[in-house]
Amino acid sequence: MTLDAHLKPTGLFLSILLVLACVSGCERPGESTGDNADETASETADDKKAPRVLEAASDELPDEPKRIVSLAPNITETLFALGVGDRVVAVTNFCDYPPEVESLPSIGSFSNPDFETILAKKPDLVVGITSGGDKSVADKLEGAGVPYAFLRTYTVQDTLEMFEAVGDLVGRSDAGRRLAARIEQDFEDVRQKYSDASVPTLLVYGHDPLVAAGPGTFGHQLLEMAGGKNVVADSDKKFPRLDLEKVLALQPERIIDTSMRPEQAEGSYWDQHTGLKAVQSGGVVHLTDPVVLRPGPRIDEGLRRIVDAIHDAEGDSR
Amino acid sequence: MTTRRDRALTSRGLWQAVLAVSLLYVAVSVMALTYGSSDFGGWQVVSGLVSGELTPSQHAIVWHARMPRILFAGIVGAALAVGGAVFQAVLRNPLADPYILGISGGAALGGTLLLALEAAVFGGAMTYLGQLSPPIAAFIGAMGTLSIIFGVARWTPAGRTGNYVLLLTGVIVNAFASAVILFLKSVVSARKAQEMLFYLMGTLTVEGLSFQLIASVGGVVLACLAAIIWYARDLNVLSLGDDEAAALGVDVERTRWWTVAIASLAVACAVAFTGLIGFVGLVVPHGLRLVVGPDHRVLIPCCALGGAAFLTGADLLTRASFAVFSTTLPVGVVTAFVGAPLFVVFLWRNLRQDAEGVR
Repeated sequence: MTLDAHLKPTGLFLSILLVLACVSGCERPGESTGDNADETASETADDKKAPRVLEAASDELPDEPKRIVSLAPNITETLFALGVGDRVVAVTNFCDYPPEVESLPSIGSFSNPDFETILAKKPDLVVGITSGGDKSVADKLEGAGVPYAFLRTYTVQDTLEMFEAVGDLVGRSDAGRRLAARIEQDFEDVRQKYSDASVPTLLVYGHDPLVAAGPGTFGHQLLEMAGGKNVVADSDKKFPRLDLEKVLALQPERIIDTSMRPEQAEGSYWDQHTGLKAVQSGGVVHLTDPVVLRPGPRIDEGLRRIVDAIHDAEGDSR
Repeated sequence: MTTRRDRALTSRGLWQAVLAVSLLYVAVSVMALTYGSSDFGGWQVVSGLVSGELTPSQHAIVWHARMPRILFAGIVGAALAVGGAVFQAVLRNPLADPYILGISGGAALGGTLLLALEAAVFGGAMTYLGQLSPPIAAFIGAMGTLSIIFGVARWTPAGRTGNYVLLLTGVIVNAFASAVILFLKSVVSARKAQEMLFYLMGTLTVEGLSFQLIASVGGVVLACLAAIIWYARDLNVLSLGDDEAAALGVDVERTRWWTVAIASLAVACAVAFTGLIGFVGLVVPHGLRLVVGPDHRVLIPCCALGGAAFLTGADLLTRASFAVFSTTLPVGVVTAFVGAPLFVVFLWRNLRQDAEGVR
């Protein structure tokens, strides 16, 4: 990309599409805003204890919302998993599960929803996550008097609490708690089973730049639960950018590549770097299904895929 | 056949042209209010507005989704088109657009710096200013680069080549700013980088802005336009050339300074809120010059109204195209799609008129 392209709207649009195509629907590379969240939590904790992961919400929220607009794939999945899928009136372009969402109208992309389309659905609750690109959506909804709630799903703990918080929002608190408990149990089982294993592993989000899951991220947490040892666990960045030299120095035994561009799924990117131990031994695994890193109700399945990738890489999709 | 630009501008001609473009702007605005990305449209909107019988969601669509965008598209379109007309006259360069003197780079750099350093450096100010901080940072950035450019131009022993110094410094500052932005994007976290991309992309998704704020920005831009119209006669002379203008008694340096500064102020106000929207400042002045002639007394007001109409129309297309792509396009895509072919047509018409004039 030329320097100039960064100041031209069209070039920018294309690069944004690219970025979104790579990271959409799964974990957003970004920093946890733990400090801020704790502040907001303590501020709003006066009368009714607001969940820690509920980062922004309108003052008035309906007890039993009937027309819900979801602004994120993992929220959509959670709503359906809690049994309120029939109350979802619109989703984003990136919402791809469960199959029922195919027939639901779209309000635009995950990070850049169309405001008028949201309003036209006459929602009594708009639910999103905080890590999108456009922070002003909450302000716009506030201005138009539409009830909204934005949740944080940066970590495993966030995600479990998100299930409960969404349950509370839609009047299905029990279902939310049950879902959280079930996933937590699944996590615990996997953790127990692989507590002795520590396979040096690198979890990669994309190639250009080469971004990996650093300490404290959702990807890192799943990796360590599944018996992997994150080779960039001592990085001072949550999403460290590596160059090939760094990867060669780290020599992970497994490389789990979650980037979603089809030409990369062929494995061509890694095949050219034959100096990597993981490439020589067939330890490179492509996990392009968004379920792998999506902080939603199917994350137990995502974790299982990571377990398989780490522990029987040879038999896998190479 | 005599073309428009051969005739001298009469008072009647001026008012006719301004009235025609005004009508166009009003028509486009009404269209923009009655159509959007949802089904709610057409006479339903008009009758609902007249009778006051709108459901809450219809009310929200008209007043919170469409109205802010329409007003802001008008303001930004006017600022960009007039900025383009002024820069083309002052720099005597038909390719000059409102961003050529580094406003784009400066605004982008200001906003990006803020996003990159926010908590660490601007923490206190940001909590105080809230959602307004990126536009303010962008505005400061734009004004900062502009003062650098004028500083360089002033201290260069350039004499009569003054406008080349402005132009070259502007291009250099823009290039430098994009390098700094690239640097910042590389060193900050991925999420911050994504925020920056969104910030830099020109969009009119300004629905959250309050009407007071829109009115204030509109007021500043309007005042700038009035000031530019005040300079219209000097701009006419200036576009002949520095020597000719000086011979005719125009203080070239002063006029150049003031017109560029005022136009830049208007453009910086607009860009601070919407990011960079291309083609408006290029295609509207060129198109209108063909229709109303090159006299800035008529060209400037027509550019303001025509630019407003052009961007409002482009935004209408952007919103209406949601039904096709079920995703929101940046308005810059539409202005380029419409603007680029138009520009070629204008160029061709212009050359043909020149050829006929020679014969």
